[in-house]
Amino acid sequence: MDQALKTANRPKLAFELEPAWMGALALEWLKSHYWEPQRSTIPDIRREIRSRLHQMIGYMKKKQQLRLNHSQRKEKCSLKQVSKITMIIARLYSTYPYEVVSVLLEQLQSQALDPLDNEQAEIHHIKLLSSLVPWLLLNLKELKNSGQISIFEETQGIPTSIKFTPKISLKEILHKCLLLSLSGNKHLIDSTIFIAEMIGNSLLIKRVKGLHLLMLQNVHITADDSASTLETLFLQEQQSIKQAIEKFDTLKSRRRVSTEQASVKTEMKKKMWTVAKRWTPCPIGTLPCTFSSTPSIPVLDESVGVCVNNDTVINEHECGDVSALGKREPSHGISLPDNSPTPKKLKETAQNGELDDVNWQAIPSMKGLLLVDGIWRKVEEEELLAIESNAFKRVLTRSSCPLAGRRIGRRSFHTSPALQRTRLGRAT
Amino acid sequence: MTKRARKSPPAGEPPSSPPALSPLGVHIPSPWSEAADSITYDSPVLRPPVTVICGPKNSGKSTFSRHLVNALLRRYTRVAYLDTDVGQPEFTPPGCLSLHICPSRLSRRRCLFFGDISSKRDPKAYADSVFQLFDFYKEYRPSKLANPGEPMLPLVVNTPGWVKGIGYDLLVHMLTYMEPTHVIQMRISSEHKNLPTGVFWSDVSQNEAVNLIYLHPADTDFSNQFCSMPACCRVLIRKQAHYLRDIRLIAYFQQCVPSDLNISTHKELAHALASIPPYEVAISGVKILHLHCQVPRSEIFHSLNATIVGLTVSSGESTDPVRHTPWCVGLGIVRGIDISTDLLYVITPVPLCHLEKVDLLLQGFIEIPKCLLQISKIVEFVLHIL
Repeated sequence: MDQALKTANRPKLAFELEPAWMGALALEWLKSHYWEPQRSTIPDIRREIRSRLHQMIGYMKKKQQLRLNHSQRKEKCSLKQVSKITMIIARLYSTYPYEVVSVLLEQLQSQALDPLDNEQAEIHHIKLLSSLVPWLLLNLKELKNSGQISIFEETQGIPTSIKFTPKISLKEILHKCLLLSLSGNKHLIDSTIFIAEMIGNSLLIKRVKGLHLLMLQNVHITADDSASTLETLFLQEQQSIKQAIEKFDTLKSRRRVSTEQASVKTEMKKKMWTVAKRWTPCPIGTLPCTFSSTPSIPVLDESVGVCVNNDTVINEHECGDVSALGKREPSHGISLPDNSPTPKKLKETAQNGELDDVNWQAIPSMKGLLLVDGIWRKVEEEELLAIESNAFKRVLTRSSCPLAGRRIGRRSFHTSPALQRTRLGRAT
Repeated sequence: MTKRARKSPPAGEPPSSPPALSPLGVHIPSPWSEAADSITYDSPVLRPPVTVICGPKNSGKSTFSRHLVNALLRRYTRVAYLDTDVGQPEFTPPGCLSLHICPSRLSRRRCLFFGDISSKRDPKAYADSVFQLFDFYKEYRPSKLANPGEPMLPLVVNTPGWVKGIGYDLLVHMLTYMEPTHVIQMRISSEHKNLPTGVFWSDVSQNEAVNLIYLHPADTDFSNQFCSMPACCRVLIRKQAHYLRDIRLIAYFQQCVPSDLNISTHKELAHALASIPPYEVAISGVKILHLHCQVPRSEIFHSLNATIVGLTVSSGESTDPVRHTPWCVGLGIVRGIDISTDLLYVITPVPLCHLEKVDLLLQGFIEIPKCLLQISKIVEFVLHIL
């Protein structure tokens, strides 16, 4: 709408020109009349930060001078200014963290590179600046933890849902710190470990720590060598080569040992059959006793627990066909008394198969039970008396043929004399 | 069909030539040597003879097949011998079916553990095993470089003496599958026990000639005597077969004992077997399979202890992918089981190099000779403890 209004009020373009030029001309016009003014209205964050920092530095310098002059009132005033600027910078940082940090680093770098009067001042500066790095990193971590900023990791894709584009790569910072820490600056070394810890890669932490140990050694050597001659340097070189050779040899031997161990293991695997090392004569089927020279009968029942297949109940009728073929079938467990509508099956024992005491205890006493077609049934005295008669016995065995699937109720034996009669009739 | 059925002279007639004597003094009647010679020399070079020897029990099948192998070895450098008599095999202990390339070496032997002394219990498995061995023979070449098209070795097949009922069906099945060039039918004097004459295994005309030769036992008198014997004496002879099997097994397991130990009696052997350090193998490292029957898992170790098992290789190149019957490297006695240490102790004469591949123990119905279990002193002591 803006653009439409503005263009309406401005002098119109001459459309008589050739169409080829028209596009370029239109773009040029758009740029000069609309884009450039709009760009000028956008505040330059970097410039602002820079100016704020300059202001801060100015105040700091002022403060130092005032401290030297011992004028407390003015110092307080400058302190207020400093805190005010710090607040502004902090606000800026919360919205533009990357810009603030980069400007800050630029500033620090430019300060460090500033030609100084003497070497000591330079060293002092570097120390001062490097001491700021851990502090900056600590802040970074806090901000990260509070969720105000997010850190870009190379392994992840850039999430589109996050409001501000994440631009801080910890690995990049680590890389820079490592390069700078080559001089042996302790702050930088610490901060590299700190960054590695922030990344959270244990292997990386280990490596960084190892690298620093080496660097510290080097620092010591160089410190010692400052006064040494070329000859001592040469000797030390030789020494280090020797040490390296020794290390290499130990590594090689370790590797050899491990491969030998591996080969021994594979051989052990291969050698499934071996001749018994110790053996005391004992008859076939027995085992030599470890404590004495007398043979012992092996305990083979332990395997009962391994897999006892008691989950099925097969009565004689089902077994009949199998036995006719002359094949031995696995023996089946004793079924529980017939207390339920269908012949109850023994539950399958636990997979690793302890046929524990509980199971045995669970089987009730056999008193008053009669094994009918492989199923234990409760039989009362009257029933027993009835069974005594041959005819009834036959009826019972005939009628119990389909017992595996159907229960013949106690009532049918007793309280239904009509049924009994019919059965007896059939049997006779 | 050009059938050339020849009949040997009747038993009563005097032999045309003096009877041959083998180096061991075994009486070989002339019809036998004539038959063996004709099989050896009459067949074309490109098609070596495949001879099946069949007939009822105690008719001299094994003796003739042995004689035939020796005769064939005069012309051929190598002769294959397929032993299908699980009760009394020639080269292996009882319960095994085997194919040998004579002169026999362990490497030139293929053996299958059937696990019983008769094919009665599982005729199908028996037939499958025989066919697996025959297939192996058909594909066997003396050297790896040999052409697949090169002539095969001459083959001698010895069959069991069970020629009635299912035994007869099995024999017919085998003869049909093998398509032999020669069939030797051993005939005894009691005709009802003999096999039918002619090409009884096939009613369809065959393309190639089958030489059918009828032979009579060497000692006809014995055969006649056997038939005229009272029942109790026959039982005695049958028991003798059992005793022979035991002797076979004892001789087989005697190989476990160092030869420098002079062992003359069974008692001494039993003591020696009890004393030698056995092979130990992890129970979890081997599979245990029961042939012809199912054993509840809780009873597996009870059934396995102090029994003879077939040591077989379940995996590897030697296994036939079609029939899945594992090759057997030999027999072993499970002399002890220690569940607490997961160890199985096995006595076997199989050398360690062959034993390495063994991962499947097959248990059948081959009974351990009782005398090997009888160790008077120690047994008494054990009984005393119990």
